Amino acid sequence: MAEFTLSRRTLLTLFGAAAATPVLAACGSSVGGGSAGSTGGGATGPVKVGLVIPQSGVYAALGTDMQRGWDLWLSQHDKKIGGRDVTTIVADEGENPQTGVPAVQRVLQADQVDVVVGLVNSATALGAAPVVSEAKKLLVVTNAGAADITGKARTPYVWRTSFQNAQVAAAAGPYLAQQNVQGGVFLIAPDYAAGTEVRAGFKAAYEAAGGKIAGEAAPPFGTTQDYQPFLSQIRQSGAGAVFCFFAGAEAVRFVQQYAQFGLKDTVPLYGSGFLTEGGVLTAQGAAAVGVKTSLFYTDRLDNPANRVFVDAYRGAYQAVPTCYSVSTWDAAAVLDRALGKATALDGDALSAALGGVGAIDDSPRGPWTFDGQNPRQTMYLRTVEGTPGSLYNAVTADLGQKAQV
Amino acid sequence: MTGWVAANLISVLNGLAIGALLFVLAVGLSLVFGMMDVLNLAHGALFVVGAYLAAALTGGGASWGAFLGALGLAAVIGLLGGGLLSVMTEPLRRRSHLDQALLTLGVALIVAELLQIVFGDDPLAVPAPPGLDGSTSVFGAAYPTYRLVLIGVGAVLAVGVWLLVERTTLGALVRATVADRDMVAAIGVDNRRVKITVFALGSLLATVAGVLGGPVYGASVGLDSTVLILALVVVVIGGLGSVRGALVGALVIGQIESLGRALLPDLASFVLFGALALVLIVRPRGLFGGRSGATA
Amino acid sequence: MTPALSCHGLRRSFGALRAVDDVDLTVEAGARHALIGPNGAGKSTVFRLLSGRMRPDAGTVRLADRDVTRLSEVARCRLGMSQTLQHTSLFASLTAAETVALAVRRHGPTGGGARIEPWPRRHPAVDARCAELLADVGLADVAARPVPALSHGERKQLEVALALACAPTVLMLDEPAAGMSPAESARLLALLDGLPREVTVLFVEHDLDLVFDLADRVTVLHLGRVLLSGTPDEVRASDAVREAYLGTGRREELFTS
Repeated sequence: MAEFTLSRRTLLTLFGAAAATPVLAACGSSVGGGSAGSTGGGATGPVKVGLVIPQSGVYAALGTDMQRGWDLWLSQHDKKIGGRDVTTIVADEGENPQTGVPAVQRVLQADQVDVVVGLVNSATALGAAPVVSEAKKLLVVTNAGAADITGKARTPYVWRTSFQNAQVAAAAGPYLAQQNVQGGVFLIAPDYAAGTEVRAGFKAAYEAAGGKIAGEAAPPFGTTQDYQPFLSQIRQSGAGAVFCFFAGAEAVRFVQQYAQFGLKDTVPLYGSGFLTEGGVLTAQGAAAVGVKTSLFYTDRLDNPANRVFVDAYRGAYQAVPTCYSVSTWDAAAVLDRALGKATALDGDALSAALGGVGAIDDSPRGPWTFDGQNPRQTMYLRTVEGTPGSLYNAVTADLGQKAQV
Repeated sequence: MTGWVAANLISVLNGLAIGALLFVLAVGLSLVFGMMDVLNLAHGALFVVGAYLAAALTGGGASWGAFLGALGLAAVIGLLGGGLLSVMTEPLRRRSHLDQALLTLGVALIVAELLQIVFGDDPLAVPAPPGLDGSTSVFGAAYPTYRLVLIGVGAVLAVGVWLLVERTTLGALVRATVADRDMVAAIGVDNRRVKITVFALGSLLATVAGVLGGPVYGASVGLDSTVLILALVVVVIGGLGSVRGALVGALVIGQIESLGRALLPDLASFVLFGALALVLIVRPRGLFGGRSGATA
Repeated sequence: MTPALSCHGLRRSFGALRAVDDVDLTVEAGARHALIGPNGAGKSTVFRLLSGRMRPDAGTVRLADRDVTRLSEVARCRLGMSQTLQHTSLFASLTAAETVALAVRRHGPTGGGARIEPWPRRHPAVDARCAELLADVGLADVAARPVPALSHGERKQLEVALALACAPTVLMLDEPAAGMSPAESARLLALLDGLPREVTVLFVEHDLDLVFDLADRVTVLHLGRVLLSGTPDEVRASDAVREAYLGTGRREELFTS
């Protein structure tokens, strides 16, 4: 299945349909680019950034949001990062490491970029880590949430501005324990690495706070169209609430089927924020109203930086920003600080500079700092409100600052 | 205990609904493969075309008009698409399965990419028509009304296809072509026209299944390969070129996906392909694959 | 009189192998014409070139006075050329009567062409013609039986009925007696012998007893070329034919009848 997408794009290019497709036209082209009025010279020469994001396959929608976050930051800052003119090379990450890692290699070798930004897929990020380490270039991960990226498989060259899967899930644990859910919480997430991290992260935090897990399920990832057997299991478990992790089309199906099978009104649904983030929320419609999720961002956050950010984003794209946009916007923001200090553009210099950026106080998500190479950031409990067509994640509770797990 | 029984009866019922949908999806694939030896890997793409049509037409709000309009439009597109695929594979009829599979795979990839360009990257939902969008109480638990109706629609379509294949001259010709294509040509029937007809009707059922499946599966990138694999499993389990095989295969897979996963949640990822492996070991030609069905 | 079927200068190669090399053949109307030859002589290839299943590299095929070289098998069938195939599975899910009915509906109960209607309408004429054909080939008793339940000999008889249902002027049989018991073979001989003289028969056969019992004309192929075309007696008397089959000196063992 995965290979289909790779060849899908290759095939289309072969058939010459590329010219007709705006998405493809952006592929490999340069966005941004140095402007005529650059300061130029010395330590403030241009910097080349490889933005590796999915433009095809199931994650393509995330890629769009990420690119918008990046482009918006540049357009708000005179197309300069750390005083240097920026050239952005966009490459298609695709769905999996088979397409993503070569894309990273390509921007490093063929395009000679100084910094790589992006990556949705955790396996791709883990596969890209040795590549950037060997090249001694900096990689700023702006989505992929596997713990190992900044944990067990840590290298000085890979930093992350997004989140850790377990960090997001664990934030909801103490909150649900305080709610004293009768019958305990049922835990469900797909049977792949991220799902497992979410289940482990939530379970540890919830049980540590005195909660009781009523049951667990791990539906097959990517091939489950129908959640009825698992919904049946939830009903039988007698759980008083459900915590789940799903993304993309699976998030839409799960939330809708949860409502269709009548669980929505009797067993409150909680989840990691990706469940109701971005385009999936529109598709879920009325079924999503009342679903509560934990995440480090929602466009409804009431802080000055976010108000400016959301207005600018709406103005530029006629859409609301997502956590994916913010993570990439923040990648530009931290690079701006690091490049301002660093004397060179190699990975060692930039990694050292990133270690000293301190608190990022102008982020739309609120203030955050690097804890190791991953953000220490405030998590929020969000509740879906509004009516179909204009649904949004309202802030219900501040779950406090969370370090990486 | 009664709760346990009731919950599993719901899984059985749900397996029927999924099975009904799978039958409509898979029967065309089975007949085209069994008859003309064309492994049509674009079958999943046809399903997704139906799903996106349903999403697009019901996007402005659920209504019977939009839903039936999507069904009608999907049927027309399915007929034309199937006919076109039949004509495209015609020059490859003397070549290997692989050549035809590569051609149809190419078509599938192009269609999927075009759908993504036209309808965007985000997954889309398809609301059930008014009146069917609620839940009905079955064995004391809420069950989506639309799925109950789906069982009925699937049954009607299954009977219709069965009558067409078993009780009409066209059906006899189809069965004859499945069994011995050369012999059909020898008695003076142009089997290319039989092929176009079956290809078109089978594709029509695939796009219609996409619309019918919309309220259950939605429309999203990557759905094409998921349903294609399910349909292939149904065909392999049921046997090639047999309506009864496709029906039984679909119902079996429906139960495996539903009851099997409910009873063996820890083996959820394994039960489908475990069952497939079992059938292949015990009956390598599928449950209803005749000796002659898969020859030539 | 115009021959029922003829070909001129027929050639067909498979790579470097010239399977059929400049073959001329004339099948007179009403003839019982046998096509024989040792293994690899090109019999089956000639058969396929004549039936339209395969296209020749060069040469022409004429059905009566019409050039059919460029016509498909299906079109030739419509013009009155009917055939049975060497390897056939028939239609596993149909009964004997349904099988014949398919061909009868295609060609009309009285011949002359019809269309297969998609919807099942009972045509008494179709049923009557089916019963007549099945009776002619000796299958009246097993008409309602599914094809897989028929014996090998019965299936061959059914094939002949199927071919006759196409109302042919030329009936082409590819090894009709292959795999038959002597009893089945004898019944087939009687059936073919009893066909009306308006139907011209061309058949490829290994069983030389059957050939000399039935044929009034024999063409011997050897290495893709016509070795001899003549009466059965001329073929029996030919040293060249004997050599082609057996090498020299073993004539008696070849023609025992």
